[in-house]
Amino acid sequence: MILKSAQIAARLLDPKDRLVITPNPTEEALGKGSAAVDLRLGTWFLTLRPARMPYLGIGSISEARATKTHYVKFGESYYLHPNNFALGVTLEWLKLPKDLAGYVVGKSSWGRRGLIIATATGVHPGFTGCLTLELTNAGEMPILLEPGMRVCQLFLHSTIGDLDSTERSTFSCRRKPVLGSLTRDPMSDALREHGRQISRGTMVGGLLGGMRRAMTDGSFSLPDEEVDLALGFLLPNPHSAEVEEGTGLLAGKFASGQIFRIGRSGMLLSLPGIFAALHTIWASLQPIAPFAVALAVLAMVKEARGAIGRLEPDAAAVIWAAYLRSKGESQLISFYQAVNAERTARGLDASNESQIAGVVDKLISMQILAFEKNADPTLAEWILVRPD
Amino acid sequence: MDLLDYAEGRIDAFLHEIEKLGESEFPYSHSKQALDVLRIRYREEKGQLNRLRRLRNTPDAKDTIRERCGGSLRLLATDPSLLGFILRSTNVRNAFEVYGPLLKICRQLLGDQAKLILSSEWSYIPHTYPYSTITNLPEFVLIGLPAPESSNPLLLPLAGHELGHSIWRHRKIEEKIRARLMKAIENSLGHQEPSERSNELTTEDSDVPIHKWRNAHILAMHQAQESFCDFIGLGIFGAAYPNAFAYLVSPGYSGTRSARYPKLSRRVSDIKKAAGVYHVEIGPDYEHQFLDEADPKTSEQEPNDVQLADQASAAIVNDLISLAQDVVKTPTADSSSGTAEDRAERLRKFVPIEHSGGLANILNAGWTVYKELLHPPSSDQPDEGLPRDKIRALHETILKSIEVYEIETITAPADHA
Repeated sequence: MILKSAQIAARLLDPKDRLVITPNPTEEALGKGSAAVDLRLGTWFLTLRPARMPYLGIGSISEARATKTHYVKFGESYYLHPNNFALGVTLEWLKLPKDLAGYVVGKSSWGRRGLIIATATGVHPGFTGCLTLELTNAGEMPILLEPGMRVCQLFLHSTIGDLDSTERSTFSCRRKPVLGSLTRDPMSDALREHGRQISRGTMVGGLLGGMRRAMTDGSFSLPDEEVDLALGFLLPNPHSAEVEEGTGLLAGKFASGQIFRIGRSGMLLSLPGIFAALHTIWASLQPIAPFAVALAVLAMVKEARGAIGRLEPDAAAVIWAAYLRSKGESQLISFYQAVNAERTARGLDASNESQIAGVVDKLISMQILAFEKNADPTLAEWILVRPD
Repeated sequence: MDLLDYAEGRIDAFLHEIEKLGESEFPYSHSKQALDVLRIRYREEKGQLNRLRRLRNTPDAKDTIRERCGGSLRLLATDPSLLGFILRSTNVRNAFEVYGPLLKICRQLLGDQAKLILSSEWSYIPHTYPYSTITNLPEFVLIGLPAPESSNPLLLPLAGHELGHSIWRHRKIEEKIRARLMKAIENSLGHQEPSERSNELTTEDSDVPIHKWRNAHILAMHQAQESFCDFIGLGIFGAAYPNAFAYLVSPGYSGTRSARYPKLSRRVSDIKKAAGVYHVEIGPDYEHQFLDEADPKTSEQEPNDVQLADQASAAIVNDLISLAQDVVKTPTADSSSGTAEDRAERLRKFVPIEHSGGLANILNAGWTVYKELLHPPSSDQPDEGLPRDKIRALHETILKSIEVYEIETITAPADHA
């Protein structure tokens, strides 16, 4: 049952289980004959700082880093420009009794001017504090927001039976707008972990497949689509197996010291040219690419420079070396030693790419298994690590 | 480069900083006005230096230039700290809701021309630039409260003490007590060497008697001022002041007491004495929260100065209590529609107080509830530490109460405002 304004007024005076709206609504705010109470805009605002964060998501960034607080005193204005978004707050402090719930909607007169208010509108029984308002200007003209102006309306419903208790949420007892935190729950955790296990296998497979192909493919050419895939860390979805395969392919070819033709440019690049290109890619990727991929590119430049001509063309080892480097020099050395020991034990020719690739492949697989067993970060996760 | 170039360069840099600060978001106009005054002042200064350039090659002008530049640089030596203060006054960590009600009190006590800048400073010791002491901003009172406590309205009564320093100057309290303080020093001396002292009771610019007890007199005057400010804080905010004082000061600021302050135990007992006169209730165990600090170090030539100052300032405490009471007789509270218990009851439910009657009533209710949160009256539960969530909620409710009070003041019919 929705409360009429007269009933709302009565509940404001009810000594037993009082509805609190402070400052008290004026007669105009209670609107004779209406079924809601108007609420006013408060003095505090919160805006997002997109330059401080790559995205918004669960646990992505702390509120303090993600937002900027503004105070607008009475008599001054906040300009909300078209397509801009800000959090505001009601001037009124509410306390809902246990038998009332509500929802907030914008004033239609503002809505017709493009101002959208309160898209997350539910107010639970027992809520205490000022309501955070989500303010968006969907119109074409800047909108002047003034603290104290009537901006939204609160509809109140009586619940069937009282709640036994009301627990204060993180949004409770606040006089400023709050972004709040997004938290995981057991079900979303389970679903997420399931999905990750599938993609982990695919990605690792893709990466290794790409490296293997790089070592055995004698064409030395890279089709357009493979260049795109190889540079896939620029794409919005770095989780795809195709991207990982492309990355591995490019890495393998570069690091094995092959000279090849780059995609649609048709240019034949020498090794120094490729190094220069890698440097450029590294520099441009550093701020935006997954950290580990960029690290791998950098490592390839360094490692390949020394590796060509004196070491086996173990491209995968080069990639792996970047990872191991992050784990410590001793592990890097031991990995090289393991490759060489295995090669020697098998009597393999250092110049036989496919044989070396097989050894490296096997060792990497063993390492991955070992890491997974020890609950260490997997290669796939490592590659997708983002800088904080 | 010569001195003129240096001085102009530094003023240019200072003006540039003022321009940059001018782009800040100002929560109230007085911070902006202070910047505007400083901008005008330093543009004038720059203009004067600029005019001196024409005299640069005149042989006789060297001293004039040096003197003028010296004046400019002396100004610059102190004013950068003002810019820092103004900048911090705009930080959103400050609870801007308290500004309007505090300005109202400030103007009731200092006059309508008074301007207030409220800041949060990086020190636990509240700080002030009193009214009429800043050369370029004589109408401004600057009060800085501790930044780590900027969201804690319960410490706001400490601004009452800081306001006391402005009142001390504005009401010329020093002139009113000088003779009594001198007399108290003489009494403490037990009328030793009377002829010698009477010959030495001449004055210089600072109006302080020149004789061998001059240092004791200066210290006693500082102590008297601090006590007076405590009584002003108490007079404005009632019991909330000693509570805030204890929160910040107890058990003692540091290992060694400053001679410019009375001994902590005496400060506390004086506050209790004043509370008795002002009919303010302070808990019976109040003084047990404090420990005395070590006496200040004194040079061998002045072993008795601090002792004399202590005795003299103690002797005039009753006078200071009366003087402070005269000042805060000016009503700083409006009429309230409820009792102290009504107000506390609202805060217990985390509901802002309506028709509170002023800042003091809100803060006293806040302290009542805060103490209950720390020590629940009927709790058999083991001590589980601070109920931080509830304390945060209480702070928020108090600050909203203060905003509600301001809204009520603004919207009240003219004859009630």
